[in-house]
Amino acid sequence: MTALLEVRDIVKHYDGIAAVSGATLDVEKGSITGLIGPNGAGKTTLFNIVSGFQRPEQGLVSFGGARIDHQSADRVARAGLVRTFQETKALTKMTVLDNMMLAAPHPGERLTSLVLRPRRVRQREREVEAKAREMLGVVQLEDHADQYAGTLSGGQRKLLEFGRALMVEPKMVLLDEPMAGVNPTLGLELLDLVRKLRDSRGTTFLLIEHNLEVVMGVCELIHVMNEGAVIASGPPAAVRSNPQVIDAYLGTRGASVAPISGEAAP
Amino acid sequence: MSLDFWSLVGAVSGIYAIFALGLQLQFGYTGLPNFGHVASMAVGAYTMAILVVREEVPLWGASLIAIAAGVAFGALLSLPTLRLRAEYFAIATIAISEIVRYVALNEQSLTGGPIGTSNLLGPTQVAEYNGEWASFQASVQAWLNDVVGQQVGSDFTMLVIVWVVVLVCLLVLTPMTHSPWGRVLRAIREDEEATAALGKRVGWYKLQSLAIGSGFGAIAGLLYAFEFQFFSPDDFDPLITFYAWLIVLIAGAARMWAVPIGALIFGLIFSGTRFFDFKPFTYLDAAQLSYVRLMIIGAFLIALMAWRPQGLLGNRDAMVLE
Repeated sequence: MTALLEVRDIVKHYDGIAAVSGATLDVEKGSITGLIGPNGAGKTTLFNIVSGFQRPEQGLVSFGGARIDHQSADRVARAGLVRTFQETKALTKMTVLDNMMLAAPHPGERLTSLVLRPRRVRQREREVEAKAREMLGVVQLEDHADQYAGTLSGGQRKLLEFGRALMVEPKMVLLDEPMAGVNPTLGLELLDLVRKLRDSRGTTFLLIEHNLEVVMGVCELIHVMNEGAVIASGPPAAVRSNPQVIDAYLGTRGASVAPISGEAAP
Repeated sequence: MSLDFWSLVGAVSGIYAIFALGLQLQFGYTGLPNFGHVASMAVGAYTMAILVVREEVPLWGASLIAIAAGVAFGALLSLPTLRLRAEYFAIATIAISEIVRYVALNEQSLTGGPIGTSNLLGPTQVAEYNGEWASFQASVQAWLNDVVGQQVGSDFTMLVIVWVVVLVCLLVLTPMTHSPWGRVLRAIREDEEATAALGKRVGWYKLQSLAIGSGFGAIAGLLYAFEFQFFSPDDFDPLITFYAWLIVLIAGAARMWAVPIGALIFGLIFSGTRFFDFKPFTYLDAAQLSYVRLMIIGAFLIALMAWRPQGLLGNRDAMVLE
């Protein structure tokens, strides 16, 4: 197995306070990896940096062997690394179907194609719509396709964002608390879908999730962050029994924050 | 009131409709609050007039170059301003439009200065750019006389020409905004980050929207120049931008076909104050009445925002969604 995503020694401050201080982690290609840690550990900031929404002060991020740490968010997404947001960003004044169709790469987004290749654009539009409806079925929003996305509940918006990210046909998806607000039954189906997509398409997933049972159940490898650094990495069983992880979750301070796993920076 | 008068009102409304279509693309679809839209009109009109008078470029060639200049102006406008948040973008664009107007006022050797286009060849001779247009308009008028079967006026002819252009603009813009391209613009209006997260080059789309919208502003500038046969920098006062805003607000965001209707409503309000020949308006002279007109437009705008924030023709359901 090779690392699809490599994060090395990322440092980021807000107003002089370290949000991320030397975080290092790998995500193997075709894996489902978890990123856990107490509130304020720097997980979302790390997501923002990896997805191109923020610039790190130090460190590097590479995706599929290419540096992406100073690339814009849209380029990162086009390279095949797509994220969702903790606070969902449904485009509320567009329909659910439009939200989905927007995400697919489309020749009709170029004015030149609209003029020169109208048939190709129409054909792609039909393909995209069919695919969007199929994906809406998967996330159980097919009955809401023609509603404004703003009419959806919080949990439904999570599902919409998940489906929308998949419409980009990504190599890797960063999921920021995908289960928050989603009803537990559907949440489990979502995790099934994550597994299926990994198995069928080889899509890689990195997810932030507070529900430890979920993370332990679905992830093969888990990175634990605390106070801006990755303090432990390993399979669920090892992480669960790691004393530093237990300390971090119980709030005990003063423990060493050096990475302990063999996966850490060289 | 005569047919000529209403023809003039209709023609000017049509010119404002084309002008506002550009703003609708920029603001209604892309969410770019361009408060300097009038500058694109000035760029279009002046480019055409200068090329025709000074360089003796044929009118149609000069007009095409003028539209291209409007597009280029919009693209240039986007470069320093696109990273700004909406409020600052609005301030920057209004400043840029004033810069354009002040350049037109002060670069006398280029624009004829405050006297306007009749001064384009200096004070010793009266410059005109309108010769070819006048003969074109005359031939359209002759054709209309045949079609209608009676003599039509030049104002009516202009009305027909302008609204044909309005229709063509709508036929170009509507499929664009209903395309996947337009979908990206609407997404940007709602949430730039979400759109970028899906791999769309947000800045590039904003640039296209500003450039194309300014192209429509330039077309409006050309028709304005043809309609009035003469113009000066004062014709491109920031107030004109606000007329376009009023039209867009009447129409509601993201509805192209509603813009010409909004422009007609605007034209009616704007010219309707001429009929205030009863008390208490008879106490005012003509100059004072023209300010009353602006006050009425302002009051209308406030009332619109209070009761129909989605615009007279807009969609309230979409408006209230968070």
